[in-house]
Amino acid sequence: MMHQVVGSYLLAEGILLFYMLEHNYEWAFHSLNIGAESLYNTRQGVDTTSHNMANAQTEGYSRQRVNLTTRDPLSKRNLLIGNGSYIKNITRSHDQFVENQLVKASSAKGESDAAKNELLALEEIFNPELANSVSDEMNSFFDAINSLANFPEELSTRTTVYEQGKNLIAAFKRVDSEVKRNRDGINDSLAHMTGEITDSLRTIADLNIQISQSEVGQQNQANDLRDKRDLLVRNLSEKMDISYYEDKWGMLTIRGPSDILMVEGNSAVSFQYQVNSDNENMYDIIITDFEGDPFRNVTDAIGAGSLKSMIDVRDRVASNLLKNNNVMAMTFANRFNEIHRDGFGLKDFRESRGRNFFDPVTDVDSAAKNLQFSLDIENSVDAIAAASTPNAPGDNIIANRLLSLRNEKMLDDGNATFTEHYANYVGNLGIETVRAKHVSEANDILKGSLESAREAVSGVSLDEEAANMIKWQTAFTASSKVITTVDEMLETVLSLKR
Amino acid sequence: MRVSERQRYETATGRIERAKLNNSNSLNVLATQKRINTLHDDPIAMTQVIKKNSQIEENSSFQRNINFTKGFIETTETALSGIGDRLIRAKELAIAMANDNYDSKSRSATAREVAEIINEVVQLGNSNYNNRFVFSGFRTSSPALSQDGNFLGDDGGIFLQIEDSNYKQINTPGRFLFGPTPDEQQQGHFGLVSSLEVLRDSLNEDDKQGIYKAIDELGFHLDKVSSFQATVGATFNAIDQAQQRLESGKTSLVTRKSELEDADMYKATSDFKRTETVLQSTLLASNKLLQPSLLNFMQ
Repeated sequence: MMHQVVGSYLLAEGILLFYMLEHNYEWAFHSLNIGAESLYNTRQGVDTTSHNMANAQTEGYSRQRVNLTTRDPLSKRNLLIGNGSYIKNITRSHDQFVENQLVKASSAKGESDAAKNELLALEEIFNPELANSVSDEMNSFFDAINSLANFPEELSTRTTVYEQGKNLIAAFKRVDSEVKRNRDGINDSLAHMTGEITDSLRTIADLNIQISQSEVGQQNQANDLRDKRDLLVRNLSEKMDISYYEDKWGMLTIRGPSDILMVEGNSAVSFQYQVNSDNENMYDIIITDFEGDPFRNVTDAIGAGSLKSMIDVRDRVASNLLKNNNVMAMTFANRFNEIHRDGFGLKDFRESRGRNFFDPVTDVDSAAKNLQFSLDIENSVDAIAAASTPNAPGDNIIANRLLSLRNEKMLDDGNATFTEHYANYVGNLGIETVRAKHVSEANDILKGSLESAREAVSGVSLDEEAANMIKWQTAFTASSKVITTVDEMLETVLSLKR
Repeated sequence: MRVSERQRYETATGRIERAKLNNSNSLNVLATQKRINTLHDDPIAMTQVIKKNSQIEENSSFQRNINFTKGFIETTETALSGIGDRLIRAKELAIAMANDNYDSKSRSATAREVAEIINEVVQLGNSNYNNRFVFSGFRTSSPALSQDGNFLGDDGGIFLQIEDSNYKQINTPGRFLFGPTPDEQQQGHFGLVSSLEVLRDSLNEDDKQGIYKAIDELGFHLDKVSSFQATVGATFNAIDQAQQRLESGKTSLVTRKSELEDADMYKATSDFKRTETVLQSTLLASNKLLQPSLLNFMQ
């Protein structure tokens, strides 16, 4: 009986051992699996942390998070057994609402920054510290005429009139050529920018394809590619007004000025420039269709961004400055000639009148550029007319009449003297610059706070990453411990049978 | 709120940039002593400054006109009083010689003195200021009188602007001074030099009636010369007053311009100090702000 009992006991023990062994292995391998996967998960955590740290200062980067999820439990012997965790996905911290705001703010900031910069450059031409402004030279010229009125018979006063006249002409020409140089500079930048825009549109279209391919059928987001595309969109919006939406494949469709389709799927339009002979050979901006054929001239349709203000400064502000300068040159030269023709000169010219002082100006558009002395004055200062009567070297009546032009309201339909007109149009440029500066400062603050909001969500904090690193490292160590522990347990079991 | 690295760096650099900009702006004001250094500093004031500059320039040329005019008028005045003195002397001689006590010999001796007076008067009539003959009308580069006293100039009146739309005639019309004008001729008057010549000739010819006639004529011309002197004196006073007005006008223009564009030095200096302090403390704070990180404490 005893034997029987012992025998059956032994048998039972053997069965139990077998059972245990069988299940111990399962249990052991299960934990090994969980440990191994956890090792992989935590290593990925450290990897992502290091990726974040490496991109702490990268523009447009959004911090990434490893999202762990509990595996579905195993059902065994009416038990639901925990099954460890796995990496569900890696996501970026991103707030689409802030991003959209930022794109809008970028448009406004691009516009006001470009306006400010271009206006500041133009403003330099009229800097009050320059001594050779048109207004200063005009004052000096009238001063010379005044000396002529004092000593009409003197060679030296006539030479002074000639020299100051030359300076005045040079001042008109300087404004003309400097404004044109600035305008040409803006024009070249526009041409350059069309190339940049074409490149970004192409890159966005390429990213569209890459993103849709990477994301297909997966829960993953192509974080880094999306960051890149967001940055491109934001930079694009600095240049012009755009609107965009994302389709279900994650591809971005972008519309530009006048709602022209710019990017759809992997197709992108390109921006080109072409000379417009009606606008002094300045460039027009042309959008092509997806096949690359010219489609629309959008020069005047761009509603925001730096393109808009550059075109505005080029076509409105600079043209206006040139026009004012030309009108002043033409009005002054012709009015001066009108009086000058009534007068007699000295010596060889003492008995003749009807001479112009400046070469008569007929075309207002090139008035400043072509302003010069008449041939008579160029050849001899005796031709300068100060006298109203022949053979009268002391006669200064014409000189006095010329002098009265200083206060004659000859501009703005007889409402402004030369100096007033100059002060007004230069003052207007100053006011416009101040306005652009203020708008730019306001946009700086707006965009700054939005960027701050974006950074608050998406930016990398090294402290946080350091803490994360410790977290993952600790978890990694713990997982390693799980594996060594299981290993030891298996050793124990295997050592049962000697 | 989360604070990310870029946020911290950008806030720091933004603050430093702003502090630097303010500091360099106030340095600029301090260095140029001007509030307005570019157009956009204050466009409205700038347009005022441009207009003021033009007015100041105009004011200076009026003042230069006046200084020149004063010289011209002083020359005229000297010449007129010289001519007056010579006429008085001639008249004295004529009255003395009209006395029967003198014989023809002493009269012809006096005639030589009168001839000398004629030379002097012609010379005075050809007075010039800066090589401009003051009595020649517009023909300023040639003498007003020939050696025998004929008027060679014209009737041109030289006007100079001494104030806004205030022109003054600065030359004395030689034809009226040395005459005779057609009116005077009708009344039987001679010209100024001719009157002296009549005296000289009458003395030479011992012609007492001629001497009496000359005395009358000299009296007539003396009156004329002194009336011209009065006119010139009045012109001189008028432009002198204009000059004083211009002086005070210029002072107020310059003051106004200075108010518009010049920096208040106390404010500029304290602004500079203030912005400098802000810049330094911003730099200091940024340095401290950017230093600590958890990474520094992980060993």
